[in-house]
Amino acid sequence: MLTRRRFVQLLGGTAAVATLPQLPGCGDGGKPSPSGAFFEAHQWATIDAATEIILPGAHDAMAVRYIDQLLAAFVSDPPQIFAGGPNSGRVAFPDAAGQASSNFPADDWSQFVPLSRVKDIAWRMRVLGSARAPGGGFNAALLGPTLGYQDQYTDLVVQLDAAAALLEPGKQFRELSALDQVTALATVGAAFPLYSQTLTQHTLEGMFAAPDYGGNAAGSGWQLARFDGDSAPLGYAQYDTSTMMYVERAAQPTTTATPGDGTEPFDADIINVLTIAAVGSGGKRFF
Amino acid sequence: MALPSTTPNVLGEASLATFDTIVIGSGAAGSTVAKTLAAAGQTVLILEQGDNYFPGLDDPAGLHPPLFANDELKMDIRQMIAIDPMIEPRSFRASASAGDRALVGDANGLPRNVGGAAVHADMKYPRFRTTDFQLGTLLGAIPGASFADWPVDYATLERFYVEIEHAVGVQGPEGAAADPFAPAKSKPYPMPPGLPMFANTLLADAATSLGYHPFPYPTAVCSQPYRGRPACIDCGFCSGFGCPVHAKSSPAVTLLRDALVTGRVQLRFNAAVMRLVANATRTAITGVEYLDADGTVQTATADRYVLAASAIESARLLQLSDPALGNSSGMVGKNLMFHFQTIVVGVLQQRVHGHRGRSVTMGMSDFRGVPGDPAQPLGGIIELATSAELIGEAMNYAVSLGKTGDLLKRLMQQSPLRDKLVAMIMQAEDAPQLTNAVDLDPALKDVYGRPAVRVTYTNHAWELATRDFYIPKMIAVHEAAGAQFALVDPPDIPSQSRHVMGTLRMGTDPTQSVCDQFGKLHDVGNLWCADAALFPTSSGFNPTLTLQALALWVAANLVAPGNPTSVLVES
Repeated sequence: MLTRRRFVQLLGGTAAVATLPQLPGCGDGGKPSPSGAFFEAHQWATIDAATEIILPGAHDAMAVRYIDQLLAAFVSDPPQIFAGGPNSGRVAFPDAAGQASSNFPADDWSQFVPLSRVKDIAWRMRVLGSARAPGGGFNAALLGPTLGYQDQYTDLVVQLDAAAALLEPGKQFRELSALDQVTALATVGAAFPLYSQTLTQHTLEGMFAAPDYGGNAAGSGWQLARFDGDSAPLGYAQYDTSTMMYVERAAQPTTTATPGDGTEPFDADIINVLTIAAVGSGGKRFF
Repeated sequence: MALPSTTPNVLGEASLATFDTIVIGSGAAGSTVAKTLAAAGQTVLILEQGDNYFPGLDDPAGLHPPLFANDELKMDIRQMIAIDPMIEPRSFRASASAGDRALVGDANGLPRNVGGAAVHADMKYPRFRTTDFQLGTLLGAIPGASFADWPVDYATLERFYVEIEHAVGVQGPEGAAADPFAPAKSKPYPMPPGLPMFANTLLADAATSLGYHPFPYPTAVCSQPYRGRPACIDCGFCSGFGCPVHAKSSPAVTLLRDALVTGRVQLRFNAAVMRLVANATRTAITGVEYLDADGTVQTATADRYVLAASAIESARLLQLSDPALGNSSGMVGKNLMFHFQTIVVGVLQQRVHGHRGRSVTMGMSDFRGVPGDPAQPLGGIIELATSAELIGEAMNYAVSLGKTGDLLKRLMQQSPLRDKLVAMIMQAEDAPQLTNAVDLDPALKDVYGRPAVRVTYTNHAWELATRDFYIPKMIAVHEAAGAQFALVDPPDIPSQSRHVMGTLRMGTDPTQSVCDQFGKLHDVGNLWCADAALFPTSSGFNPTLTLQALALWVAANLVAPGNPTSVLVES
């Protein structure tokens, strides 16, 4: 299977210059904001708005809640880094015919996996920074300290508000129009690329990772991408020991096209993206 | 005997205090060696640096649910079982002239956990071809490359292939359905192929229409109940994920568990080996120093020692111990090889739902080529693949292409690089080179205080030419499959391959190799290597089956030198 790293490579040689995102729909910056386990209300609202600029739908998916849960991972014991397994409890056991039954397994994911001594150091380095992770400074002399996510987000909010004040004196980032938020985010991203990378990555994780980590509220990220989510213990095929044959799921087969799926042409912008990527890589556009 | 163990960080027989053999690494090689030695009545201590995600693996009553899940964040993004570059960074440079290091981060790290790297794999288990063991002779001298014959041949290893295929449980095709270029087998696979995925079938049909010979991929995954484990449920989270139901025939739930329940094997995990201790003349190992789960230095001793920590880590352990240990040839760490992956993907207008199945169910070996025939250069097996990773897809659009906002949303909805993607991945032969090597970084450390791994690697023109030869043929298959676009993955630097081989080459000439034909280090009387570090060449097929067959050969000769008679599983 192709991995994420592989895809980054795949497109890395042909990536177009980063463009400003197109405008999302209007935000709801006027509402009172909740606070989180780490974020105060203003930080929550600011990061919430920023995630929605990166990917429309992130607000509804509560990507900010995902980020907050990560930043507060070490408030819990075990730390909320690796959800347990194997079953989430969302997917039923198969019935005798290999289809979904009404019997569901327990939710194993809610029991987070204890971290070994060294994994604990690794994640404290990421979340808290190497200076606040005992045993985490072993390469600081060579590589410099690792700036933790908590410090990155705290300063990101400050920088976004500073950029906002330059655009519209007296206003904070969350009070800007969506158009100005795009501009402010780009300005901060250019000055602090690490913050921008972290926010982008975590927005996508908060959108598409399993809801157990705090984002992807009500599976809205999976619905957007038409992704089935986790599938165990049902899977897509069950072996029938009486007939010694596999039984597939009629609506979601593995061996054939899915009923109801037709041809879905890409829109013009995406055809343009793919054409540049294909031709630039030494591949081909076939039409 | 008290199984399962209740001692923290110990699996197997916790009361054992003396051992005939210490095996470093609990993966494909280490589990094979431990099971073979234990079956012969010997006691074994396995030291594993990683954590354990198989609670109750040593319970004779049966397997317990694992901690793995259909969870991309946990497994692929937060990398629960991978080497974490935050605490175990590696450095990379293309050549020695590039300075101390060019990059710091992940360089070909294999998962660290009980059961080793194969826990993450989707377990493609083809055999090597007969000629793959003779490329030194068949290719002749190639400037800058160091191709060599293996000191064991296919005929010698064939029965060990059979034993592994049956002991762990491999599904595969027979007769007309099989790879027409595959070498002869003396025994059929124990299980038939499982279900083929739609995405793979589309490419296979296209390949057939062009005269190629696709086949169901031999895979160490149960396609029916086998030795107490269930048939695969095609959950779709296979490559990169631990199996949630134990259908994957990975070493942990097969040979390692078999070894642990004998009562003659103890496994200590979260145990990071710092060095091997040798005698003054470096002709014998007298002990192993490791940090236990709490970070306290411990020492373990045995009569014999076996390196099974992966090609990079086994070589590193020698270098950490003493640069001269086992290194009279000067070859320790050299001839590091990966499979040279060439990837061409096709984008369809139709959803293939690549997350519904094992992701690679079909392959073809038409591009493996014929040694010495310029019209058929030596490439490798082609995996007919697809993609299932959702966060990974989003990262590609947002990070690699810089697309955000509404366009990013539409890309995720229309999903050209996941739900409509098919892929061909060639695992091609990587020419061995003395200058491609693993050694110790002069300044970078890991969390244990050890000097970090440094990988020095650049591709040889030989495999780059092969890549250029086969790319147009791969594009043509995508066109025949009805793709709208074909995209070519540029050669990745550093290599992203997890097929890591070489570094402690086996051979009959002690001036040109580190280990002999039985895996014993030429220079050291009681030290063996049993992992892919031994490989003189990389072949063009996924390495783990051959790695295990070779580890079994090494172990069988440990039990009965010169007359290996080990039988892992009764027919």
